[in-house]
Parts: sequence; structure tokens; C-alpha cells
Amino acid sequence: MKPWIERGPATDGSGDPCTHALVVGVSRYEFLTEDGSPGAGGRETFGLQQVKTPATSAYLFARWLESTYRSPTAPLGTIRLLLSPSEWEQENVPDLAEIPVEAIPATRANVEEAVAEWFAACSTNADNVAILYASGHGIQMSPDDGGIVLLEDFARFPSVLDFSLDVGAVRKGMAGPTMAQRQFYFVDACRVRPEAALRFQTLGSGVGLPNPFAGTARVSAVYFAATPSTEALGAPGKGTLFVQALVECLDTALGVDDHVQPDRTWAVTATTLVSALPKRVRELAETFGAEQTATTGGQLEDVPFHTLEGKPQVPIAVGLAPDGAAAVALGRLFDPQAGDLFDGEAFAPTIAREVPAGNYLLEVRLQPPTPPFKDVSTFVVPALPPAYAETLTVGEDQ
Amino acid sequence: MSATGTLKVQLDTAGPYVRQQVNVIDSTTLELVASPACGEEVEVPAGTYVVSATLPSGERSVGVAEVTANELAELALASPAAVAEPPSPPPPPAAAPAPGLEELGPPAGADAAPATSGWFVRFRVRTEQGFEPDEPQLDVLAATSDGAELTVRASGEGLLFAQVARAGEVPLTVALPIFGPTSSQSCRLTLGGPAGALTADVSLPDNPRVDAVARYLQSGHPVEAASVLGNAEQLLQQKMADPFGAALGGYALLRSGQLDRLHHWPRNLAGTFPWLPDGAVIAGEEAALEGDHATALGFVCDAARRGLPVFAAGFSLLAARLREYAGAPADAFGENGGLVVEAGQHLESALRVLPFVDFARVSFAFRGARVDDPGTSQEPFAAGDDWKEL
Repeated sequence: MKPWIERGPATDGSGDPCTHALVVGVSRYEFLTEDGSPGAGGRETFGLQQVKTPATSAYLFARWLESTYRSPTAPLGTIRLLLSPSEWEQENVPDLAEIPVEAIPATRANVEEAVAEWFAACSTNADNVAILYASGHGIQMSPDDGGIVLLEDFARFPSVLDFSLDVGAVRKGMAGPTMAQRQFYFVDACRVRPEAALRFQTLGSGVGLPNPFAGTARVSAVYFAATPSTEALGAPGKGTLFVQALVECLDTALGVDDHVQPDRTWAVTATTLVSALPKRVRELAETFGAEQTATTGGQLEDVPFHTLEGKPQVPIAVGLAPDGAAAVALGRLFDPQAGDLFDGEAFAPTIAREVPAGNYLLEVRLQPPTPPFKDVSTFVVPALPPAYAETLTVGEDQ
Repeated sequence: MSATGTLKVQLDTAGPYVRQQVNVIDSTTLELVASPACGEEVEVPAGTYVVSATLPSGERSVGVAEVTANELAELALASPAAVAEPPSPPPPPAAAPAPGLEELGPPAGADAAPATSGWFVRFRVRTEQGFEPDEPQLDVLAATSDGAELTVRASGEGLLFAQVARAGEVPLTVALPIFGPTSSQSCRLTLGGPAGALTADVSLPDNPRVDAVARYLQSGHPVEAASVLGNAEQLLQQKMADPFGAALGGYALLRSGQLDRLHHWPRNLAGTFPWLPDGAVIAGEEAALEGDHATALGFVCDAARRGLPVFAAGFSLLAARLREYAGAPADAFGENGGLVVEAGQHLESALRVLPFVDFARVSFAFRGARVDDPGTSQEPFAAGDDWKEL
């Protein structure tokens, strides 16, 4: 298959390391009904129905990779994109009205081919980076599976799981001396074992890779949208909560490490995502009055996943105590070397701004002077990711 | 070379029970300079540093420290309660609860209901206040009348003990080598054994290297165990340290006689993870094997104060050294001579547990319904309380 994106070291023949991504999103299921009723011919479909968010999510992440992803040591080389958008998405999600011609349907045959090509691309250089994102209906069949995402032709034949992507089996096969040693897997799907599945010893096997006698990759991090036996949620039109949280963690200071890396860049790392991503997923779910618990697994090491081009914008919030001081206080935030970020800013009752990551000084002036409150000449504000919040006392006991 | 000073950071989160790692960041370059544990002194060039700690809850505490040449600068980071909630990015537009979301899986309630098996389980967590009921995340992988297999994931802080039982037998308590704020967050528990000989094996499928060490130790191959692990000290230096792996490595080195490979890093293990008795056990045993019994007595008493070890080897070493030191003359231990009486008291406690311990297992396991007093709880299992059937 032709990758949707193919550039940089992937095309110049240099053999230099690069990032190879495989992105799969399935909302349209050929053999599922709209309401979850059994499919034609008595197919076992676990009560699943058509959905409206996985393709949106996959395309959102793919476009983020294409436009924003940055890895100084392994720039983006390829994105293989397999999308099966639902009719609803094609009609209501502007980006999915016309998907790229290189984005092919996420059927078993196509995904199998894409996985094989992605595997081959990733195994050209141990310094490559491998990224796999898969979204769709998911189930959990055994304790050890690393995420099963159902494909467009799920339930074509009685061995219904032949038409799935077995992310755990893919991950186990991503080994070898020249295989990408930094691998990131995002499984954006439920992990529930359907009751109907208990009747079967096996329901087929999904797309995977042969499992060689070779060491595992140095980093092989898996980010699951849900813990075992729990659901993943999606908001039609916006994508799954997981992908929304993921892109937020990558685009804002939420997922950025709190210090510069040795190469002087700011980065979202494998381990910062471990804490930031589940937290943001939980917060997003709470805004809907729902619960979703994302989790992580695999082989983790604190390596950068995405490097920011510049400094992250860090939200800061500084309030004053005791109450009442804010009414007469003005703030000035400055960098002694670079000058003011703002001056004369009123506390109302807090100053909440986003500032470039850095270590700043805050000066608080009381206008007019209002005893017992006192001016504060230099209060250090370490504006480091993900955020900074503090309450500053301007009373006599400061 | 620039002059240096010493920085010591305290974080009053959960008292001495949790020793949080902190990031020390140069305030000018914003580079990470050091990642010491709270309470640990670290030497850094004189200057201004931003110090941050991410708490198990995900909250963050930040402070600023001025370090002057040749002086000790101490910084007390604010406790989580005192830290203002950081502003979150704007939430999505308000939505009515639940509607508008779709589930990417079988319909709600479709998750298969597990069949009952006759196996019962409950959990106790050891905190500073003692043993308390706990409900870690539990995935039952299989459960039949012949046996059961489950994955346990740490849900917070505190050493976790699983209690397993079936009808007609005294419950078995087993320490689990998992602890929320470390990289060791899940383990697998395999229950089985013929009638009257209930067993509970702990394995670490998410941590195959350390699991291999445990298997080698269990099968009596400490040299292979030490060789599989490599440099156990490194497990303490990672950002997400693995104290249980390091402890197992320590036991392997002790048991294989490779003291030169210990070179006192167990003292770091004991100091950095004050909630883990095994670190102090290993440090004490290393000192004892080097002939420094005064230091050893200090570590042994320290270990006993921390509570039951996580690994059976630890309890074995601890009980043996307590027995030795409790009967020794106080003047043999120099400044620590006063600890001999304390060692005697710890020995009495250990002896109350000793008859019920299963030393054939790597994880510390003993029979008894009460974690804190197995000697008085040797009755057969009775359903009720917070027991859950698998």
C-alpha cells in the first residue's frame, strides 16, 4: 500500500533513522447493525453496533503526526493510514468528508498488508521510531492480550476475530537487531470480554506478527484508553476522549517534562505521558459525568516521544492572601534578562496567564498603599510544565 | 570548577512512609541537575534551583532553593493540601451527563460475569497506622475449583498483602511486591495446591527480568539469579525505580556470596524506600557478613520496626540475625549496644509468625487470618467480612 505520508529519510535513500507510523480507525463495520441486533446469518457480533468516533480519532491523530510531531533524531518518515469512517462521520465531520486517497479501508487484508510493510520499514534501523495507533470497537479475550481492535470486516466469517488487529501480537513481533528500539502503541478501544465470547474456546486470531526469539525493544510503551473490563468513550464529532486527551497532552504543557532535555529542547516523554494522559482522560470523562480509566503497559523508559519546537506555554495562576488584597494589587512578571512579560496586571482575584516556560520574578504593588498589606518586590515564579499555581501572602505575616 | 553547596529537600506528604523523588532544576538553564529522594542531601553548584515533586496523586509541588557554596540549603516543599490546584486547560463545552458519548465495545453490562470458584480473596495494606482493608485493581484471569489466577495492580501507597482462602482451610497471607509510586505496580497471583495445602505463587509478568530472578531464587540458583539481574543498583537509579527488583537482586547477591557487587548500595535501598523492610534487612546482612555487627544490629532493628518483609528470604535473614543479636552482650555493639534489648523484643514478635511461614516461596507468605497476628488466627476460613469469591 502507498503510505499517506512518505517523506524525509524514508524517501531520500539515506537510510537515516526516521519515524514510521501506522494509524487505524474503524467506525464503519460491514456486518454490524445500527442498533446492535444480531447480524444477518446469525453472526456472533457481541451486541456491537456502528460507531461514530474511531475514524475521526485516528484521522485526528494522523494529522497531528503529519503537522506537528517532531523528533530530532527520527523525523517523520511515513504514515500508513487505514480509515473506515461511518456514514455519520462522512456527513458530519468536515475532515472526513474527503479523506486522502491513500487512506484505505481498515479491513483484515489491508491491515495485514499495512502491518507487514510497517514492520519492514521499522526494522531498517534500530534508531527508528515506531508508532501504532488503533481505534475502533475493542474487546478483551484473554488476560495477556495487549489490545484487540475489531476491523471493518469483523464477523465476516464465524471465526470473527480473524478480522481484528491484535496489537499485543504485533508488539511481540516488533523485535530484532535492526528493529526500531523506540516503540509507542496507542490502543484506543474498550477492553471488555463479551459474555457471548465465553461460549468459545477461540474465535479466531487477529492480525499480528510472528513472535521471534529476540530481545524486546528498549522502549515499547503501550497506552490503553481503558483498563481491562472497562469501556472507552467517544464524543461524536470530536473523537474519542482518549485521542482528545492525547493531542492535548502533546500540544500543550500538560504532557511536557518539567525541565529541558540534554539537547536543550522541551519534550513529551514516554513517562510523562504515563501520568498526564490518564489524568486528562479522567478529567474529560468527568465533564460528561462519566468515568474512563486509561492505563499504560509495556516496556517504559524515559525517552522523548515528541519534541516541541520552542518553549511550551505554561499556565500560571497566582492569587493573593489575605482576601481583599487583590482589590488593590497590581502584578508585574518579568525575566531579569529578557524584560517584562506583563506589568500593571490586576488580580481578579488571581492572575491567570500562559507564559513561555521559564523562571520569572513577580512584583506585587499595592495601589494605593493599603496597610496592613505590603508590596512584594521579588517573588519567584517557576513557570514549568505542566502548570504553576500559588497563593502569595501580602499581609504583615508574609 | 564552580563552588558547590548541599541541598536537602523535604516534602511532608505522607510522613516518612513515602520518600518522594524530586527534580532539582537549574533555574537559569532549566536543565535537570539531580533527582534525589526527599531527605537526601545532594551536592550541586551554588545557585538557584527550582525543585519539583510529582505526587502519586498526580499533583505537583514546586519550590525554589538558593544554594550557597559550602552550606546546606534546606527546602520544605509545600504539602499537597497547601498547593493550589493548577489551572486545567479549558474543559470541553458543558454536556449533560453521559448522553453524547458512545462506548467502543459491547453494550454496557455485556462484560462476562465471572463464575464463582470456591476461592476467596481480600487485601490488607500496611500503612503507618497499621493494616487496613484495601481494594486494589483486580483482574481475575481464571478461576476454577482447581485454581485461580489474578492480576493485582497497586491502587495507592502502602505495602499490600493478599489473603486467599477456600473452605475448610486456614487462610494464606502473602506479601505482594507492588507499590503504587514505583515502577512495580502489578503482579500475578496464582492460587492452587491440593486440599489442605493451599499455595499462592506471586509472579511479575510485566517485569520478566525480575520475575526470572525470583524463579531462580525459588529453584535454588542464586548465582544465575544474580547474573540475570545484572546491576541491581541500577534499578534504584531509574526515574521509576524498582525497589523490589533491587531487593531481590540484593538477596541473590547475598545468597551467592557476591558481596563485592553490593558495595553498600543496599543502604541506599534502605534509605530511599523506608517503607520497604527488605532494604534494611539486606543492608544489615551485608554489614554482618563484613563483620560490622554494630551497624548490622542497627539495620536489623530498623528492618524489624518497618514490619514484615516482602520476601521470605528477608524474614529468614531477619529472624536469624535477631536471634543472634538478642542473645549477645550489649558491649559487643559499641554505640548500638542499647539496641540489644530491642532486638529481643523484635525476636519475640518474629517467633510468633515463624511457625506459619512458607519458606518455599519467594514472596513472604504465612498462614493465618489476621495479618498482624497469625498465631491467634489459625481457624479455618469462614466467609464474611470483606472476603470476595472469585
